[in-house]
Amino acid sequence: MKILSLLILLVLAGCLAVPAISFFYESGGGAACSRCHEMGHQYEQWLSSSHRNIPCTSCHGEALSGSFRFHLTNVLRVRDHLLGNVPEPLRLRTADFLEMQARCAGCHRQEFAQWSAGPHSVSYERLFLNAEHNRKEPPVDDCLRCHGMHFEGGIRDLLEPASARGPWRLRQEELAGQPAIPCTTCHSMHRPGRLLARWQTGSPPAARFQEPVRPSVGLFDRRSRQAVPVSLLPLPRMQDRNRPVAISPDPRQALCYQCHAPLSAGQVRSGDDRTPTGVHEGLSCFSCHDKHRQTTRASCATCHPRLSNCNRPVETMDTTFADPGSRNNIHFVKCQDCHPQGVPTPKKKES
Amino acid sequence: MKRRNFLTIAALTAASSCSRTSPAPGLRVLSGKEARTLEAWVERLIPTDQDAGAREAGVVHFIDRLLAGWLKRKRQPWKSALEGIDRGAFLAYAKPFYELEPKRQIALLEQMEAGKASREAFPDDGGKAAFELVLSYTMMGFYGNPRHGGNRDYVSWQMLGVPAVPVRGRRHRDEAALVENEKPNSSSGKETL
Repeated sequence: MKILSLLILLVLAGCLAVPAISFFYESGGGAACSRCHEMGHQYEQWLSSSHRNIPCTSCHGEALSGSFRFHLTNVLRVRDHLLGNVPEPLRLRTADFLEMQARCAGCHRQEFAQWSAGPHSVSYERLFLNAEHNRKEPPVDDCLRCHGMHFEGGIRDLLEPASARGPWRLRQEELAGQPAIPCTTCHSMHRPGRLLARWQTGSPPAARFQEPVRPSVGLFDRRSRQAVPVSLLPLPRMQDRNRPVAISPDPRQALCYQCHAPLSAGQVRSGDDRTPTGVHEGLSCFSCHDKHRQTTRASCATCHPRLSNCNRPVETMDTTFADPGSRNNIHFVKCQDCHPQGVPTPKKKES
Repeated sequence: MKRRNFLTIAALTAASSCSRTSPAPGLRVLSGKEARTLEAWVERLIPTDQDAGAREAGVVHFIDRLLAGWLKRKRQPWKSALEGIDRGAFLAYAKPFYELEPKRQIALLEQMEAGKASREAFPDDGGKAAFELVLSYTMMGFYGNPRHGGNRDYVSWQMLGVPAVPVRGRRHRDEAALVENEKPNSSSGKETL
């Protein structure tokens, strides 16, 4: 009886000690965490990031949250620390990324709402259980480069069967409704950058104090499980058959090209390429597409009809991209598509 | 257990833990002195010029990480190499290696490369093995993928013009387009819309 009581007491002490220790380290801020864990590099990055005023606990969870997973993870970290088996660089797991998603939404509500309404909020279920697509293009590991890039494992760990013959099912059913392209695909929270300027009435525009490209913008590289800043991503050289195609120098496009990529020959419209040619050649993806929602309709009116005399109803005209036969496809509509007899030369202004 | 035995074991444990050289801040295995020596060494192998060198690429961090993991059981050659080069520097110039002028550091490294360094510092082969060991891992840390701990911020890839992540289409190669491109005045490229 005495031994049993002692055991219960020990177990209770252990259960209470874990959150108590977590709370102790949390109270010291990120510096306390980085002192005892192998988080020095991440901590230094965070110190110079645009999120430096946000405590670690806001994104990574806290001791008082009551989450069993959080405490279990901490216990496993201590074990790894003592055994010297700490992975480096420290990496977040699939579940960690998905948990962070909700925390991003806590502050960036508008961006989150826009992303939720756009195609990039697609779930694992919609992407990987699409029978029509799977029959046409059997799922392979390379799919995970752009869809479900945070998933730890190959396509066979995610989907069963990984072939053109269905029926398909997700091996981890809890992923079904989770986003396959979450915030962390294009944003890295620890990237050095300025604090977001708070705009006040009468103050100069906030854009004057901000970087032209937000420093968090970068691609989550699945191979290295690290975010690569957009400044290190290349813009491809594109060709329309033998003609070099002008591309906007907007560096943010490099992020789009990673997944909406041409095939190796660099031909426009090959593979998943969306490089604009024709009358829209040289425009950046972001000239037309909303950053988070990817909608374009509203952007047409910013240039038309001021820049054209065609009097086209740009808000309602057929710009469908899915229809390759559409003459008005904005990615490659040419002057000749509307002027088959030849483009009229502009009249010279009378002096 | 008797109190005397307990105290003896506790004292011995404390003494043994104190005698270990603790790693430098931010590192796991290398002590402060070892890290300084290694940094000076790799800096001479890939110096900083108009482009970043081994120092900026975090090669010391890369090697330290390996010594804590994959090379855990092969630390001795590294310890010997770092002790040897410092001893060689002391014998020749009465200073540790990291305090020497770059010219003297290079001279010492050239002797090691040729296997002609002081036998007192490197009894086996005059420093040739130590030189090759550090050179090979410096190159790995400088040119390898940053996920392994070196090549910080892709500095060497930026120097070489290698993209951090290349633009890669779904099927990588469009055979039909390649064939079409080889034909002059080709009018039909494969378009996958």
